[in-house]
Amino acid sequence: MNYVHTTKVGRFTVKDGGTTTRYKRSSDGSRILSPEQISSLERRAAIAVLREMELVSGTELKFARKALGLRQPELAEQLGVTVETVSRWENDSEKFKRQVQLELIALLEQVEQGGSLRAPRQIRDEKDFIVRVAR
Amino acid sequence: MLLHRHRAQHAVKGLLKRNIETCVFLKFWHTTQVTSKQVLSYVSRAARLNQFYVSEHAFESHNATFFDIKCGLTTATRAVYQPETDRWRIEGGCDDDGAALTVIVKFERNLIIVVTAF
Repeated sequence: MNYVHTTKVGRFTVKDGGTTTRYKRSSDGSRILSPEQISSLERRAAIAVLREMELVSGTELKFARKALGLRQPELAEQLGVTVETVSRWENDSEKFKRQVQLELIALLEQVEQGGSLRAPRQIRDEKDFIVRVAR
Repeated sequence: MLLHRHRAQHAVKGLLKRNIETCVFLKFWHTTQVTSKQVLSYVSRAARLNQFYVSEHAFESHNATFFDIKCGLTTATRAVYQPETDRWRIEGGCDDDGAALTVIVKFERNLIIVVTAF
């Protein structure tokens, strides 16, 4: 039976059973995950939530940032905004556009596919994003 | 050129020495007297190098991410041994948001395993 890993992404719970990775076990029989495995599970969970939900809250945005292994200034640089803006988004004191979510998905997928993190091309709308993913 | 080569060799030697130290530490930590300062030093170095494992229960108990645990281990200031469970309580660190984070780790089969974080 496949192991189903549960990840809490803000208000959502993501169950990931699609992985075929082998897990080590500790002496008490519980599974132990390597940094690479955890990072991958967190990125996949973040992608799932950001994709499924039309608009997410700051908590989910924060989770996605952490799944990328970035601090606020680093994410701000990636998205081309100020640190204060990222902080306001994460504290829910400012609403962010769907475009931000799409850019985050692109970044997460970039890292998940083994690529290095670099500033993504500006995504103008959802149609542009779909074309980019389909290519 | 020679200087660069010498520096590179020196760096490799240093890295090897540190790796050997970590292996020796993980192999014999239970048989020899280790200080909490040594444990803290090894755990934080392992965290920086991503050389630790996390138990699946660590994520169930607290809403901490891998990034938070890593931050907690690298910024920790104290390591306290818990003889009743044979685990170490790594305290004084904080997560990415600056909130205090205590991490419980155990050493097993040459691995550093994060049992829980709260």
